[in-house]
Amino acid sequence: MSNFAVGWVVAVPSVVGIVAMLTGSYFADRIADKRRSLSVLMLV
Amino acid sequence: MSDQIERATIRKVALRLLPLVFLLYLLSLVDRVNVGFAALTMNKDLGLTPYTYSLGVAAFFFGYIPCEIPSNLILERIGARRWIGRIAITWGIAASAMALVSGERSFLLVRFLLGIAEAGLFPGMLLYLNYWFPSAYRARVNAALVLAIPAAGAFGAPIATSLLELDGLFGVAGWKWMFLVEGVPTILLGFVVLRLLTDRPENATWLAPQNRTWLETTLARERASVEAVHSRLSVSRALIDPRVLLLCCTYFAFGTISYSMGYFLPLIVKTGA
Repeated sequence: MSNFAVGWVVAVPSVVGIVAMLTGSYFADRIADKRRSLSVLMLV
Repeated sequence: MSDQIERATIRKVALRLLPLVFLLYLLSLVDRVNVGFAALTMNKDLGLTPYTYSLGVAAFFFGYIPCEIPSNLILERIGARRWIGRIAITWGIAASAMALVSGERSFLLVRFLLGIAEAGLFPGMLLYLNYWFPSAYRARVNAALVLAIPAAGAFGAPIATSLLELDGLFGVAGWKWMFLVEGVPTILLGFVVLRLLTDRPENATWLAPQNRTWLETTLARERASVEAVHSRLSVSRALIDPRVLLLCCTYFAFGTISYSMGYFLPLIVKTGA
């Protein structure tokens, strides 16, 4: 695998992380229970 | 009417501060973990063994960890604009200096200096956002900041490996180009911070008086209600507070996984392919 291709493969988990963080923080503010939100996200 | 003022204030503050703060943290992460991509070619050029490379990765944290809390205390004392600007300029210089390393010793030394220079940026920015956003907005605002972590991976990884392709341009190795191209913008951003960042809401001349008054009143009311329930903690007592220790464990687990991925995943993917 070329170095260039390595860069794209390594980027994949981060792209998934962006979606998860936006969703998690939106629900944390919405349910106003940050402790429960943190616990659920840590469990996942 | 009050709702309108609240929405307008938060919107204006967010648009003014968040892009700059986000960009700072993004560049800090890119400059911190780009050594993982440089390792694809740098380790061979410098004759670094896997052990020395790992030691260099750790050397960053030997400088970073002890300076984190003192850095935040200095920020509180002299103000965010000057201190975060200083952090950005010195870490940009250290990040660019990675292009000058020529062997094991200089590699370890520059990584150590980079850690010292960058220390305090993340906790400093969390503290800074605390000065500006009421608690109802804090999770979203903090998430906007830490969104830089995956964004640094998503955008930083292909950019870093693209820069490695410049190998040999003007006789300079690709990994040196990468450190230079990714380090210099940080220095420039440091000067932008010195010009544009505002320390506290009371200094925000770019906010209309009614918006500034709403923000200051809301934050003061929240602070008073917190202090009415919780007594003020000294630094030493805060460090042994069970909640702080529990969050330290959480962040330790998070940091171990995310930094291990940042520093070693490119090598794992490359050698596993």
